[in-house]
Amino acid sequence: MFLELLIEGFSEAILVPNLIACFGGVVFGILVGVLPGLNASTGIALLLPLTYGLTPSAALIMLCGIYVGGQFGGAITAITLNIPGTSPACATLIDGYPLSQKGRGGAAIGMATIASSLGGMIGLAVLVGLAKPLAGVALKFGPGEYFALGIFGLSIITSLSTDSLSKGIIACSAGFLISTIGIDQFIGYPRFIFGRFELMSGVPMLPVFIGFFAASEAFKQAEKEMIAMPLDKALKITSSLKDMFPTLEEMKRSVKVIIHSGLIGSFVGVLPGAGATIAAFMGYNETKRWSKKPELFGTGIMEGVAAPESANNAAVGGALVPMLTLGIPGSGSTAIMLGALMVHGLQPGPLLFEKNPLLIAGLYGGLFIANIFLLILGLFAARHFVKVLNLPESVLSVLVLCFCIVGAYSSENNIFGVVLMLVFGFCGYFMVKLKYPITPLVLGYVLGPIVEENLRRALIVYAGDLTQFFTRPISGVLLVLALVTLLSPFYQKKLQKFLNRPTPKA
Amino acid sequence: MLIKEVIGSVVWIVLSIVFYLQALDLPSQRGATMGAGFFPKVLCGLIVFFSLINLAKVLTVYSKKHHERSSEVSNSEAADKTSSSKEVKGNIIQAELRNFSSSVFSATGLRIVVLVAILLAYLFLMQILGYVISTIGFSLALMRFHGMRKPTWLFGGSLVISLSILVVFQYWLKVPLPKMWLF
Repeated sequence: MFLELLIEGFSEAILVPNLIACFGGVVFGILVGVLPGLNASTGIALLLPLTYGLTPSAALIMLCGIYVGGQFGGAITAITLNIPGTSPACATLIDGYPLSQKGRGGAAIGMATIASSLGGMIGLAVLVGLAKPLAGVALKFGPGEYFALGIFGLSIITSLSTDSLSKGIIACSAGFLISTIGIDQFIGYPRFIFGRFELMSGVPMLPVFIGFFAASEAFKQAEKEMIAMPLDKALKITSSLKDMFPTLEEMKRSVKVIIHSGLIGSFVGVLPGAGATIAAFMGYNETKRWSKKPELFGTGIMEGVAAPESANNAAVGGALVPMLTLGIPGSGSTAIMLGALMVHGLQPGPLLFEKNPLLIAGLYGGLFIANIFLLILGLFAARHFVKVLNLPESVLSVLVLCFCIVGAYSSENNIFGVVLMLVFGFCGYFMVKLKYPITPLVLGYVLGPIVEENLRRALIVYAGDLTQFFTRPISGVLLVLALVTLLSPFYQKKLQKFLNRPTPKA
Repeated sequence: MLIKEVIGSVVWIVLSIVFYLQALDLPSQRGATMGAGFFPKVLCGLIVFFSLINLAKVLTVYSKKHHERSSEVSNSEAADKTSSSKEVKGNIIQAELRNFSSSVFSATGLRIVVLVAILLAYLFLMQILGYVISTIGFSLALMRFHGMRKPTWLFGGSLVISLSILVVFQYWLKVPLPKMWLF
């Protein structure tokens, strides 16, 4: 039955429109990854309006393609130019750039591509293995459990995504507050409309996503002069195809690293808020910790490139687990993908597996094919992706802003959507300037209605008895975990000391 | 940094108070469950509370800095009884204010103001001229603003960007774009 579904999923994924969407998504993802400042979240937010004209399956596959490509793209500039295109690529840079200085930059990109693709497959295997059973468990969840799960998700995101817990909580609460704008779902009471009819149905998703993730980035670009990139060096590194492949010996040494970093990345990805950057650094650190020659890390070795790349792409599959099975996104990218599903009239959560099994299977197939495309494109077309850096930054900035404006307009078919997007864009810009994290705000906006609706529903079911949240096992455990997570900064130093204990000798 | 942090916290507090005052009209309780006003009020309270914590944290760092500077001054021979604690405090605040005003009134600050002006003009013109003409003008102005001087890029780029978005969105994906008396 399960195998049949997977076969059906692959048949769905290899339909020509879906293949084109997947290929386009991976190409666009690598491009946004290569461009410093843009990342997978920005790419997904920018192309979300394009999915209006696609089937839900093609839309989801395209967004997954961008996610997969975006995680890898940053490695190309990190290795060739010492400029991480995305934040997970900061871990790749540690060994990638020294390899490039040794004249092995092409092979390092090749290794990053192979590790990313295999890591992505490991993440996909974890997704396939965990999603169905977890969705089965989630079917038994009541409103109390969903409320507790939402709170747990928010607590992790808030505590992990920033250095300052208070700033994380402020951002998360602000996002939650934005989600309360509009007609109250329970009693039909209008909240914070400020006389605008357009706000009756709430703040639309697209202006929020595009504003905070893409427009804020465009505003940041506006404040600085263009810096010319030393492209000749990057083009030289990627010009020879035979130099793009690591040696057999290097591959043999890296296989184990790819597998264990892939597993680490997948499970870190499942945790809300942890994301690809933490996965990449954890993959790198653990590989170094267990290596027989840890002193070689940082000097330019292939394992130092394979570990973070495998982990950060494996995190994609992991991050999709809570989003698809519970309807709880754990990162900016999955929050936008959740929005994309809703735009297409689909409600993420356990029922999605019951009602739309073909869509889920198609997504699995699409992710598999996206990783194959990534392998081909990374090995054979890296030099073309480097050329995108030739595009003047002014043109790029105009393109990003035009896409933001058209995307926001298309959500409501009026200028008000654009105005909202620009307001959120400026809010995001100033938040970044003042070092307030954006991801908790967006996730607060997405998870807010889930938390509020389920709490109110649960209180009706429990006849106003608050103790039931703690006496029911799942909600009780989740709420305690949320509390432990929120208090974690207070005992983090001791934990850090424990984690940095001397390396066990093999 | 101190001034920026203070401004950030104050803005959050003011926004929360505005929302809280609006939420006062909403019912907080409805039977066994909460009303429409419960969550907004709690959230505003949380924002105010943590903004105050943030503010306290920043002021503690500032007072520590001030204390260190005062002890440095009193320890040095140059203190010669003319430098008082008040002066040190004044110096730190003045330095912070100088930093802040130089960052706000710098070329960067000006660039952001110009960008806002271009965006507002674009939104206004889009409602009069429609998507195509206004986007060509917007792209041209924005590219020039970013320092592009080559006419080929300026005119060719803006034309290609606006027309390709039009083709992709309006004709391929059937996503409507603003149409006014011109296009």
